[in-house]
Amino acid sequence: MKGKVISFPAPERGAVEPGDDALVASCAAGRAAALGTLFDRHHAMVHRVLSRLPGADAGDVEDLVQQTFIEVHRSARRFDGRSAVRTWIVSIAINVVRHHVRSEARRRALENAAVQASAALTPERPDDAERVHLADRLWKGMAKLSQDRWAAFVLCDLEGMSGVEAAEALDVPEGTVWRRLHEARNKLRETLKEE
Amino acid sequence: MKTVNSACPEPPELDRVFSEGADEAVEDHLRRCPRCAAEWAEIKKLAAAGRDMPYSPLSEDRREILRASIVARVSAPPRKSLAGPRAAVWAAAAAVLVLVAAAVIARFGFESRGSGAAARNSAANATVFPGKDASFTRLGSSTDGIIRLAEGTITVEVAALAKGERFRVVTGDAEVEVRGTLFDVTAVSDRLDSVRVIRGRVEVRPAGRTATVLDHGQRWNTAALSRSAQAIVEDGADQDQEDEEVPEASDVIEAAAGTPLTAAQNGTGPGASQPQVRVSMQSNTVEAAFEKGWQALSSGDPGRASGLFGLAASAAGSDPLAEDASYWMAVSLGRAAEKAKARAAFFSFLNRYPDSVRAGEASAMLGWLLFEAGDLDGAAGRFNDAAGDKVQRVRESARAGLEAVAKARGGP
Repeated sequence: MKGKVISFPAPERGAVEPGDDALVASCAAGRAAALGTLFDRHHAMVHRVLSRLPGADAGDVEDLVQQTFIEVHRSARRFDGRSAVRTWIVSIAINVVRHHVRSEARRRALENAAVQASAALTPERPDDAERVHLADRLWKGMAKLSQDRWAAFVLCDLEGMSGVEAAEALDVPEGTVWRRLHEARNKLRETLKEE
Repeated sequence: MKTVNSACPEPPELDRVFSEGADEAVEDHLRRCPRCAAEWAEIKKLAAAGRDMPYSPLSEDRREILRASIVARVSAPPRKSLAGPRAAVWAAAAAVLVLVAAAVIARFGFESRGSGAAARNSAANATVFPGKDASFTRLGSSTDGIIRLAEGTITVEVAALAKGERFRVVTGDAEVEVRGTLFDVTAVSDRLDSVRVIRGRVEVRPAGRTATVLDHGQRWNTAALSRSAQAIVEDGADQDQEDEEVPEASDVIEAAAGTPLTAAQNGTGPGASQPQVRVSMQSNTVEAAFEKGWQALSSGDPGRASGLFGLAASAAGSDPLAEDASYWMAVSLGRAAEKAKARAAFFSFLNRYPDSVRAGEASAMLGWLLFEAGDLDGAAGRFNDAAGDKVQRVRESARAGLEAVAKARGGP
């Protein structure tokens, strides 16, 4: 695999790429190599989701990605195969975010940082101005969403997850996902209308 | 005042339909209902704004560093000393997480269950006979079947698998991979307790070091792990005979000959015949990989050396040799001009072995790699870490590095 620093996998017979379930099972057996492969497969999605956390800088996001995968390894024995591994990993990432922003002080700091970060957005071309403006307002709006609504919006609208997948990732009924998404969209639409 | 047409979808329903795709009825409604159409347009605008949000993916460097850091964090804890008698190393093996990967080697005849295309599915090709109170779950895919065994004994018969198909039994601390055999697996409290091969021949590869071949009739159990060995109980063998198991050559490195260790007791239940006991331990594949890595590095092939050192490092688990292997892997990557990988490897090494006697030297080398990559702050930090090293050569390199950083920053 390209770019691997440490070739952790133990010698195995055959050149079969293990499935995600198998990798999680191997993690449960303590194999760091399996976690490395899960990271290769899913880090981009996890990083993208966590990058949508308002106010989190690049270092914060990397820390959260690291926490997510360490938790994946730690929780591997509890994985029961009822959801796809991808969805399960996202659920862990969302929980990591919940812990991260638990304190209100940190939440406020993130909101402030989000405002500062969004102010740095600049259009590359004149016709991009409106889009950048919208993205800027959206960024600020996301900082004001509750964790539940934020997660529903990021998973459904930004990551394109289905309602079933998002429900599994958030461990709520599918109807709850749509309600939260509706509330998130309403809030964000209000923000987009603000001047 | 807002009014809701009775035909309008409930608000969350419109959101659902937007995300999952509109059906004909909704599309028709949107054409006739300006209010819903306006709401739809706003949701669409919002989705477009979401897609336009800036996102910077991880750079290759950062990804490698992050990956190495994560893997290092979940790997076995480091040992501080490289020194120590071999006995201590074997004793450490008892504490090492044991992975058992069993692969059928011999071409023993057996009855295959099922036939035709359906029988080629690995999951379908495995028949599980659960013992009383056995607790297990089926996981995996059609080509990579997994039985997650938490408690009790199951007997598994796996017919011949097609090329590329796999089947495994996984416990909390071990993994048994099979290909066309009949065997028992027992777990106690989510830990692998024993494996008994009824038909076929398997190679048992505990994580990190020893591999053992089990023939049909042989049993592997964890009882002897506390005595730093894997035990094989073989029916029909001479009890006084301590014999070497000759393992299949591993895929990457050739294993040296086995080293007989202590005998172990039979762990079978009532009714089992008095077995002849034979215990063997495969030679140190970690050392073999390390040695080959060293030869490759010495002969001017750092690329190959890095792979072999990497293999040794990963297979070593808590073996003290893992520290050396990790260090030389990083050095090899640097010599192979794999700069990004070398940086990540040194980063990983220093993360995992901060108290290593080589930490200063590694810091200095990482400092120069970071300097070359233009990360002056990172380089300065590493050079500072190395500046107090006991070795003069390392201190001089660190000082030179700090001067280079200062110069690059426009200093004197």
